Amino acid sequence: MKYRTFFLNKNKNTRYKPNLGLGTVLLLSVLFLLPSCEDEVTPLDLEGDLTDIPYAPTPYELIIPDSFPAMTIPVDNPMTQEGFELGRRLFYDVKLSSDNSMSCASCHLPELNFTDAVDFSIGVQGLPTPRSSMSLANVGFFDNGLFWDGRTMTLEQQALEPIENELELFEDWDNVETKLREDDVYPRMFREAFGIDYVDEIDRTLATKAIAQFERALISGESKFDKFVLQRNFAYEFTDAETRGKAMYFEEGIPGLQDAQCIHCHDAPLFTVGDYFNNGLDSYPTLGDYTDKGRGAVTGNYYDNGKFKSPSLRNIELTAPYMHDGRFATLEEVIDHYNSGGHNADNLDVNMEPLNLTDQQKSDLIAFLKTLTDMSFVENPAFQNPF
Amino acid sequence: MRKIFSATLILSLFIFSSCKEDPIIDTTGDLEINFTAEYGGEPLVIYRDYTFPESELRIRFQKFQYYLSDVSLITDGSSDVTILSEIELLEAFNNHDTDEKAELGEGRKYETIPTGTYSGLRMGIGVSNELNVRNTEYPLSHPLGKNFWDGWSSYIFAKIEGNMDVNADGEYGTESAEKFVLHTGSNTVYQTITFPEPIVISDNANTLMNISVDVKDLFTNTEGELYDIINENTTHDPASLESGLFLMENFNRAMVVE
Repeated sequence: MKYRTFFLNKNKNTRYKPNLGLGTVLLLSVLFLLPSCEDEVTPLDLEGDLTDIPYAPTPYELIIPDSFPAMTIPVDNPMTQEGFELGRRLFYDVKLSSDNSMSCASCHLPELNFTDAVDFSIGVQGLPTPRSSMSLANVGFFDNGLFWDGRTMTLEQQALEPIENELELFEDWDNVETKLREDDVYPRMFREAFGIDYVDEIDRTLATKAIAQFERALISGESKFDKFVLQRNFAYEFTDAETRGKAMYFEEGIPGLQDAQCIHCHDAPLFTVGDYFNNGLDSYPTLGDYTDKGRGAVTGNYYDNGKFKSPSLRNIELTAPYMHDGRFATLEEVIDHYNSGGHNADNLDVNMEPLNLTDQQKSDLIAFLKTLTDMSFVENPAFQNPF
Repeated sequence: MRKIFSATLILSLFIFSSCKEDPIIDTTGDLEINFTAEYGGEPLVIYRDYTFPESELRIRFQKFQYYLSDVSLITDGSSDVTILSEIELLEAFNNHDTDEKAELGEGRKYETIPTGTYSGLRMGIGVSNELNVRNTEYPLSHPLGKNFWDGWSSYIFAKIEGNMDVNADGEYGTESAEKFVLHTGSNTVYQTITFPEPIVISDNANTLMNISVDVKDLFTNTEGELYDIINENTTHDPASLESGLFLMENFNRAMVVE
């Protein structure tokens, strides 16, 4: 069913002001003086009115593993089933791009733990983004900044940016709002999710709220590690290699096993501490010479230059290539980097040091990292493309 | 009859209204504590060169943070306390890369405190025994949502991290021996500190306090013994409680009210 609204200029999305004449004034005066009728009709009542559609949202219960921290849900955006489904549809909808060819999911594919398999994602204009696509698994828990540099603090804020970014979806939010209002399905979904009364209440604020609800539901916590270590399910007992890898990862102090220093930046249960570090990827004369200043570009602090967010390592075997610029194609290359101690820098994290790992120890670490894979998450039908 | 009823009603209203008790108005005020970090009496600025006590060893700090528990006002003349805050994590020092930021410190404001004269301030350094278990009730950014180390079954009470120019060549290298990563934790090293100076909370007013920690003093105990930063440069080992205790006990002399 198509909805049309009166007094709406579709091209410019502005309200059209009627030209008032004397007759109109007299008519309006008479109407004002007459006793009010029960069935008042407003200009927007006739079409675009969504109030015939019931608004009775169903709470969406997040399934948060016992070992996970709490997730902060904004008071003005509670989780509902309707909001989740709307957000899922928007997440996968190519209408959010200027040429209707790409969606959020173009760079955040569920089968790749909501990343893509390239170092720099390619947007609508065929141009590369400056950094690698981050995974959205458990993104709802990350309340210390989003993106590699932490430049936005909430999922609602974050979702605004890619739509208008010329290197990503390269669309205008005004156009997106128009497309959504004119769609066959979205008016009903927005009504059911947010209780709007009229089609033209569909806007970017509600759209990003819905996308945020979908993203908050992307919880991954059923890997082999979770089942064996956290849930004590011995049906998933670790192999010897995985056990040794875990001991190095968590610095369990087992004689003969090197501490790999991983937990300082990638501690369980989220396998990130949500902070920003310089892990020695590059060598520059000074911190001011970094071409990508990362966190420093956001805070303006010189000693934050070259720091990037430590991403979660959950499902890491699915998310190659690695680092903020996708420079490492394999986990082996990642381990080799950390084993080397990285390039020195004024703000190189103190936990970066040559590890002197043997080939066996490197292999064991990778074996452990692969226990963080949760296929039930990446294959969850609830998170797949609804189109 | 009607006149009698009306008169009774009016009289009753008058009586009950005159028996109405005056409301008790509790007066309250606020306490604002500003925490700063120093080194040898100077502002602690991260990535600035300092000298380790009683040596020529050049060091610099990348991180200094610590927990406070049960920040409380001691009720005058008794052992009762008014708990202002169960838990605080002071970590703003990690971003103090200029004198201005370091002098600014990190503030905490405690509001609607009953007015009166309190005989002092008491706080725990670290995470209290009651709270020192892995807690999943809080988000990642909350003080109790981070810094828990399973190896110790404890939060990391304090982190003091940085670099050492052990080769005296003007360079801070990447080798383990050229860094210090001093983490303390476990109930054994938890400390309680009391500042016995009177604190007056006045009605609708803000009382200010400044508390500083001189990190240099954390490295020397009351007996003049110096922390062996060369050989004990990493305390992230469940067996390193002795090193952690040395540092934590020194908070009692390093932390002062200014």
